[in-house]
Amino acid sequence: MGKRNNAMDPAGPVSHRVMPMGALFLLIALALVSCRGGRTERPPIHLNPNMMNQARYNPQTLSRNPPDGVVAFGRDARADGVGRADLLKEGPAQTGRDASGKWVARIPAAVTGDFINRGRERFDIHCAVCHGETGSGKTVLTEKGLPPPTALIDARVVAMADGEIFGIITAGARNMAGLGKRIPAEDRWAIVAYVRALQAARRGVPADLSDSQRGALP
Amino acid sequence: MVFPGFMNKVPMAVLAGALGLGAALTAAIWYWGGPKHTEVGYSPKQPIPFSHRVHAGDLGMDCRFCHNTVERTAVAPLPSGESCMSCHAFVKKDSEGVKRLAAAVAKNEAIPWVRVHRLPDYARFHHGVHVQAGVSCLSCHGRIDQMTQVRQVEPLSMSWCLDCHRKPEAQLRPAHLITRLDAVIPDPVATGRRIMESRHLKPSTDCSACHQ
Ligand code: HEC
Ligand code: HEC
Ligand code: HEC
Ligand code: HEC
Ligand code: HEC
Ligand code: HEC
Repeated sequence: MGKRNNAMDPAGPVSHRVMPMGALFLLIALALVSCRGGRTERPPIHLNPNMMNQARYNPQTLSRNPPDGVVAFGRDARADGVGRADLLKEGPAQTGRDASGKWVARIPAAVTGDFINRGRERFDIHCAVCHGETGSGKTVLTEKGLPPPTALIDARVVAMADGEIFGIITAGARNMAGLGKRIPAEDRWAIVAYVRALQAARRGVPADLSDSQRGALP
Repeated sequence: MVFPGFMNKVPMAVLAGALGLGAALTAAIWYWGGPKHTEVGYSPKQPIPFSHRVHAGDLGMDCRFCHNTVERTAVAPLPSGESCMSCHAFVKKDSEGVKRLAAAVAKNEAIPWVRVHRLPDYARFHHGVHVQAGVSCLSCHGRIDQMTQVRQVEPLSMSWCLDCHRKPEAQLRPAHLITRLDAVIPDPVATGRRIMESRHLKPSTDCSACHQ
């Protein structure tokens, strides 16, 4: 545009007016370009919201009219995951107790390498924040006011039955809240297996060593 | 002569102006009218100033501590208020946000979190399938662990879904790095190819996979 004006009117005042206007326009355009996808608190606008919002309840939205005779069951409970089915089942694998109500001594599942690895993954997700990755109980959270979590390599925890540790994960203990609703039962048993592995690693039981290594012990 | 001479230029000027304006308008709508502008950047204020930066970043909590069934279910659940109280019954008890949290839990009320990411009801999405396949939260939610307030960083448009479904290699990771948003994958494409082969992945581009 500037060029045409120049041809018409070389050195005339028009180009003096057009040039700054062009520059301003460019600047505004550049500023706008950078605001693409900028932070905003306003919800997205949908000019054509056909079928976006259908007459149904989506998960984790509030039900305004609970049908008669229906009981809300813990917000973590869901039909396809943890929760309902898990909590309603009975038996040592679900409660950690045998028929006489005593804690079961051993994990009621085959403890394989995969099982312990699963336990390690779940431990790092659900326990390590508070108990530390090695189960030492030392984390920044104690500085922030959390009562000191028990060291899981402590002799007292080593002496517990497997079922009791399972029970503590499920229902909590004193200052520790239960995690049963959030972790499925088989994963809780896998965590118990990993806690046992941590304890064994810490104690360094002689059975872990080869014969020649054991011979070298004082 | 009825019209002054400069009027001869008017039709051309009007035409050029209209074309220019049309082009500018088209460019503007193309650039700012699509989901890369209209959806990206949404970051509503939440009823409690919960910060992923503090919890997932500084404290290093795993996403699955709170969004616990994300590996199995379609929806990544938001945590219940009780699960926050396992710490906040002791930690930062007299901060304004934690007081509001404790009051809601005491009354057994749901916390009215404002939804950020939202697909239309006619599109179907499943978290479990993606997480099992090895797609990290990072690919779709960005560096959540650095956000004090959750912000949408991907357009979540159909073309965005399809771009990855056609070429997912660079986005796949080994299982233990799915929630490690800061992990650097040395050779993402080769790693992704290996994962695709070993798990026989074939993301669908059929309409019926996402629309029913
Ligand atoms: C929110 C923090 C937190 C999380 C998460 C947590 N714990 Fe604890 N845990 C504690 C605290 C605090 C104590 C000490 C309770 C007390 O002595 O009052 C404790 C105590 C324990 C004890 C000993 C209880 C006793 O009777 O002395 C065991 C065993 C235990 N935790 C196992 C676990 C396992 C396994 C996990 C993961 C599934 C876990 N905890 C997750 C905070 C936590
Ligand atoms: C301490 C619990 C906690 C942890 C750990 C956590 N989140 Fe969240 N997350 C929440 C809560 C509570 C909300 C709802 C409030 C909000 O949007 O900030 C949320 C919201 C979100 C949302 C937005 C949901 C929406 O409305 O669209 C995404 C995405 C998300 N989290 C991803 C992650 C990822 C990825 C991680 C792991 C890096 C993670 N979260 C770790 C508690 C947690
Ligand atoms: C593992 C323990 C833990 C869990 C679980 C947890 N938080 Fe926190 N939260 C903390 C710690 C520690 C801080 C303080 C960090 C600091 O010192 O700045 C904090 C800080 C906060 C704050 C800011 C307080 C302030 O004013 O400084 C809010 C709000 C908050 N959390 C909300 C939540 C919500 C909501 C949840 C549940 C989705 C949750 N927290 C779950 C440990 C936890
Ligand atoms: C392939 C892309 C993708 C991946 C990977 C992904 N998300 Fe999402 N996420 C979405 C989409 C799309 C939505 C909106 C879903 C809807 O509206 O139905 C969403 C929604 C959410 C929500 C809000 C609740 C819901 O489900 O609608 C949370 C919380 C969340 N994601 C957390 C996570 C976490 C944590 C991870 C990693 C373990 C993750 N997401 C991985 C795409 C993804
Ligand atoms: C970053 C990559 C990525 C993105 C983005 C992505 N997907 Fe996927 N999606 C995958 C992979 C990988 C699979 C696994 C395919 C398999 O298991 O063979 C998958 C599987 C699916 C499936 C299961 C059907 C099937 O092919 O087995 C659905 C449904 C789906 N995606 C929907 C979506 C929707 C809707 C979006 C957009 C909101 C989306 N995806 C975005 C990578 C992605
Ligand atoms: C990988 C998942 C996926 C596949 C495959 C897919 N779509 Fe979509 N589609 C979506 C998502 C997600 C949206 C919503 C996009 C948005 O919110 O902007 C959508 C939106 C749409 C819309 C609505 C557009 C509007 O704005 O009203 C139509 C129509 C549509 N898809 C048709 C199709 C057809 C036809 C096919 C098969 C050729 C197909 N889709 C395949 C995920 C998919």
